[in-house]
Amino acid sequence: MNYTRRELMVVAAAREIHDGEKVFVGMRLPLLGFAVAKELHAPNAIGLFENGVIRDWPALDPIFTMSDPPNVARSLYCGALLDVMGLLQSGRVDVGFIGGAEVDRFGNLNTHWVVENGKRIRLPGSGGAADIATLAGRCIIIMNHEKRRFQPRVHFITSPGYGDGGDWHQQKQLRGGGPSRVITSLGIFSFEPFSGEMVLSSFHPGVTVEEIRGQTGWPLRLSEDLHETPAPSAGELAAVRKYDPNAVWTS
Amino acid sequence: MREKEGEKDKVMDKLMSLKSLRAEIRSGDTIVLGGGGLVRKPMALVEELVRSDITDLTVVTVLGGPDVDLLLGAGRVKKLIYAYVGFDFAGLAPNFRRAREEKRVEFVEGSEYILIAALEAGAKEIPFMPVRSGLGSDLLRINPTLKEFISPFGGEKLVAVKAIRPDVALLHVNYADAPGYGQILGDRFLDPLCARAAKKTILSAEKVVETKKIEEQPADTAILKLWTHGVIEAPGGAGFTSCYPNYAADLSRIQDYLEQASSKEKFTGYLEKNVLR
Repeated sequence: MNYTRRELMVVAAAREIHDGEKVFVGMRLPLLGFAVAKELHAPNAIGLFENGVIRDWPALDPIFTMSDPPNVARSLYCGALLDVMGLLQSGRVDVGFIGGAEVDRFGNLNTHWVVENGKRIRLPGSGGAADIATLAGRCIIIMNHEKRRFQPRVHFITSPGYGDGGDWHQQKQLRGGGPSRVITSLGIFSFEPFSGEMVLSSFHPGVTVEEIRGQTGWPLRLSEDLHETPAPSAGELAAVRKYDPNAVWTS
Repeated sequence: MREKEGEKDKVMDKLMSLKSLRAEIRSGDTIVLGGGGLVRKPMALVEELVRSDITDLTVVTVLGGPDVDLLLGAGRVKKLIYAYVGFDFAGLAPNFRRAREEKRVEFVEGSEYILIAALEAGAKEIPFMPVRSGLGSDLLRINPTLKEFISPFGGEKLVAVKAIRPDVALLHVNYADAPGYGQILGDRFLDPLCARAAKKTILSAEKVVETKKIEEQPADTAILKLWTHGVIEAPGGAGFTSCYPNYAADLSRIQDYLEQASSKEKFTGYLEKNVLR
């Protein structure tokens, strides 16, 4: 393979962004995914950063925080967190990217605490994730695929997906569309319309379904159109490497 | 503070020394910290707090970073109201984690928009703000300042977020003048809201400038003098966090901090060497 798993994850994220969408981009892999989408098929997508920055084009120089000079310089708007978070409340954000320490079969995410060796380990908390999860038109979850992260039930629901499944999402009157994809280091999941359950829709090249099953903490279900994740095209790879030339995020 | 004779009227001069910050905050106060994560954190002001004997603080932060971690590590926090505390890409906040695991501090969990709503309500002096955030999340279960209710207009299910009215806001800006206008040249995070919600605001500024310099770029003004109680000149006052366009976050100092904060013993040494000096 002439690409890394992380490069494939970035490309998969890019493929989820449609032209003209307003995207809550976050950092690292989703940010690169946004850059790739802009470069290739979504030139009119708009990137919203929670610090208040709105950009048409991602910064070329590497950034470690949203407020690093390359991200602020030549942005189109440089306001406050309230401005971009307010867009979420009114339902004007099409897609948001979130991650977490744990995800469960209904796409609920936990960024509050996990248990390791019988001890509670404290994590950073929600940040904007709980807001994005319930209010974006749809959200894309990006995570490393490990059994300890793919739990039958998360220890704490920071950012709700489809709760207990079924009509939970409607019962809670959540305005956003809920999670639509989970992009992992091993494959890509979608959600079954009525049950709200995560089903494997593709496995990355070189990964077996058995391997994914082994890293998933509940009985894995497969989508009817299960297939191999298409490998990145030359154009997609070139775009990833343009925005991450030193492979800071994708090695 | 002193009053200076202006040409036409008396202009309030709010300049003060870093050390005099200590007289502005009392033990037990509620403080709100500006910036976000590793961005424009009021590190000079927070370090001054650590050099004082002020303690039992209730700290409010939407996106906490080394500011909150330092106060927790120095044992000055009684209660923390927050949406996130961490070092962004660099990792978890060590003292936050320890304090949490040792159950020394009361933690009140929110999301970004929940904190925004609490401060908005505080700024307007109304008891709560309605939001759509929090529905379906365990935050509603564990945070007693959030209550689900039915909108009297149309019957939508909403969440009431209880107001927060901090005693003091601590913010770091690029430019400030003596009367207390503050200019932020990069993104503002929630600094203007923090200033509006708090009973008083203390600014540290990369540079104190004449009011006429503020007038040249009014669109950069983020903080109004009517919120500002004190102005402290502190070049480099965001410490190793970033302050656009003056400096980016200092990755090697961040790594050093995380290493020094990895155990309580090491962190005591760090405080003595870098903060208490």
